[in-house]
Amino acid sequence: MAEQGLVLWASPNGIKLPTNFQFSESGIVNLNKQLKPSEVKKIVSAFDGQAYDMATEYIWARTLSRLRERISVFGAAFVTEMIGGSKEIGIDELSSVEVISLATDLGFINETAKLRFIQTNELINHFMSTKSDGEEMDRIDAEGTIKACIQFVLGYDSDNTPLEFAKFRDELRTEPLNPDSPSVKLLSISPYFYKRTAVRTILNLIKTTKGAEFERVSANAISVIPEIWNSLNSDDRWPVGFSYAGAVNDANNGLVKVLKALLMKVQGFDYVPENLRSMSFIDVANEILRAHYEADNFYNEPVVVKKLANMGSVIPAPAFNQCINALLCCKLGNTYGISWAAQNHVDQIFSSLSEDRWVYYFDSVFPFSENVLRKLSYANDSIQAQFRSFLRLNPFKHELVSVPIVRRIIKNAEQKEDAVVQKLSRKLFDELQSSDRNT
Amino acid sequence: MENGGSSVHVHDVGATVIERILSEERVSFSESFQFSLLQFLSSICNYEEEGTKIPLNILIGNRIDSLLAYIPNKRLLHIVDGQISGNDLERNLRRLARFCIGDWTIVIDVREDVVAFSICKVFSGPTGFDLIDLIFDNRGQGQSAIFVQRSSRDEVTIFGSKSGCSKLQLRFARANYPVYSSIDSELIIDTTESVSNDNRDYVRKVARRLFRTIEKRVHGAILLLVKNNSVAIPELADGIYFQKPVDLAQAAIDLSNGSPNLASSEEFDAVSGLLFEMLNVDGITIVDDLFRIIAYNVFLRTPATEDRRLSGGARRRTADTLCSMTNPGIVGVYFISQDGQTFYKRKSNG
Repeated sequence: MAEQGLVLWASPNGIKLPTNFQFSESGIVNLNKQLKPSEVKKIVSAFDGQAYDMATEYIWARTLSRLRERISVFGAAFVTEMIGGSKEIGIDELSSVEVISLATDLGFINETAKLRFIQTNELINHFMSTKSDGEEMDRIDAEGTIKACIQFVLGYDSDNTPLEFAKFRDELRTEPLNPDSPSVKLLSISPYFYKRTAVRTILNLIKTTKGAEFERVSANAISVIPEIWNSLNSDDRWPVGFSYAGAVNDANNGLVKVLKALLMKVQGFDYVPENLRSMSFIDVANEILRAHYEADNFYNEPVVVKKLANMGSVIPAPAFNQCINALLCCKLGNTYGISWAAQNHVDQIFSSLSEDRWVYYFDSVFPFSENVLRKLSYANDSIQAQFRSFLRLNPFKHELVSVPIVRRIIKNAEQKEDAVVQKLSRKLFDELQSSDRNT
Repeated sequence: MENGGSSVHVHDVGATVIERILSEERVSFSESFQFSLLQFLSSICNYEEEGTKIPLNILIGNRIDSLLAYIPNKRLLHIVDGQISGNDLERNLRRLARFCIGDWTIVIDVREDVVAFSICKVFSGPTGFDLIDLIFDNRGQGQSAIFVQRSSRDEVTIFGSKSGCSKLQLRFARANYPVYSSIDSELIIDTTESVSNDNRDYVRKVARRLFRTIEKRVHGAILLLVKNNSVAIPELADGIYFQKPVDLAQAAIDLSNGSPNLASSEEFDAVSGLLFEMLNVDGITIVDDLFRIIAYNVFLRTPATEDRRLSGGARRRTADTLCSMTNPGIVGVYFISQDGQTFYKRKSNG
């Protein structure tokens, strides 16, 4: 891995598009490696006929489909491990944003592509929903989307693109690793998402391997995870505890021994759940995010948020981070607005949280909340206003928050210094993608 | 000591053993507390309240919090604080004893200035490990605790991480019955032998968990294991035979398929609970190797068993008779007794 530069697994940076890129059949055909000629014909025909939304939706669907296919190689169990929650989830059930995030974590696309694609997803969902009020996508939006799809996915020959993540996964399965191994040393200084992906990959492997492979992966789990444990946030520690609880329920003696040894080594028994009730909360939080990022979110969000509100007034600790992040995404909305019908239920849940829970959230969860930070980094007036409203409705002593940059974000939000809020949020967001953020 | 010219020899073997175990496990409390505790434990084999025998499970130690931190899916309810002198120990234990009927464990956490009395139960589903499996394993480090459990009316089992599993037998005669094959392995294998390959491992885990519970909830019974679709045994015609057997395997499989919910869990508990209650009814319970209850309240018609009250010696005679029968449909006999003679005998054994 080290010979690729200082990354455990590299992601492609996108093919270089010519400056005079033509939105014609020949223009796209020259660069496209994955679309069939008939598909290119349909896209160009729609584009030339100024049916920009049709052209965009078509190529976007093909792009997502290619990404799903690449993810599916790792299996549903692995995907479920990465997403979290108790229900095994099929590749086809993943939301577009989950597909984009997973594809980034596994190195199929880079962070730039992730950002572009999430914005694309929002754009397309808006024009597909009934809230667009008959507004149609224009040529510029369509060109941007088509270029991004070709640049980051369709311009690559998927058969020849090396799966570097797969090599790392194989190394975990077959090579003896210790704290001095180059991969482990590199992992400890890698950006956060590498660590998150490594932990989830290891957990998936120890649950799915047998015999000698299981012994190897188990030994590697006990070598590797302690090296990065202190830099993991609670969202990525709880899965270890949940896996242990699951192994106990399955009377899986081998797995219980490994995970118990690991938890003892990292003194991680705080992350062993008292019960598995919190898994249900995590499942619903994932549903809220899916509804939020898919089409017609304004109509779909209220049902799932109400479901969470009806599950009880106390959110169990293991599910707290995911639930509050999902609810805050719902509260902030997207570029096109918020789901008004969901707000009452969101506010109901928020109002039940005590001050120390908010302080904990802003200290320990907010700095790692990729979805929330992304929204604030590119927030328009609507999102900024929603953030201010959220802070006003949920007062707490901001001076108790120990992370200086977060205190400044809150303070500037209250003072309507939107540009500063964006800038500081962007800084936190960028740190998440780099190796600078280690707790 | 002299008594009318002859010496009296006191043999406090039980006290010696348990004190050794406490020392080995480094469980420390005051002498007065220890005295009160051991005094109470002296009656553990025959503890009853209002005529109901209660199978006590007691976890005693120091730093129990750190020990229980390893246990997922548990509910720990703190009930009362007691004195470190142990003066109120018996009173507090009597307040908690009844919970053991519902499979809760009494937890006595001896701290510096107080003794915390709690009850604890692990909810790990139909296949999961229980408290004993999780507390005492080879990796136990720094644990200062013992688990005391009534095994039968004259046997106490004590678990500790260093001392392992010790059985304190309070009877004079050594076991005079043959030591039959291990209940844990052969009984479970035989009861599920014909379950489909895809489901067999899972059903075996469920069976293991159920059979472990049987000895706590059943007070003396015979389970006859037969091959599925075997011909009826004429000597066992007297009983209640189900037209449609009670399918324990299917109940377990239904629970594991799809999304488990309250109703399916409740159904599984109810169906599996039928096994315990049928075993508690007079007579023999017949189960086949698809893990289905075929019949219960069955009586064996032979001269040796004319006395229909299957208790004590009659139950044992019936079990021996079943073991000696040559019917090819019989796979094995599981005999549960309160006096520690529980065994499972495969028909192929001599």
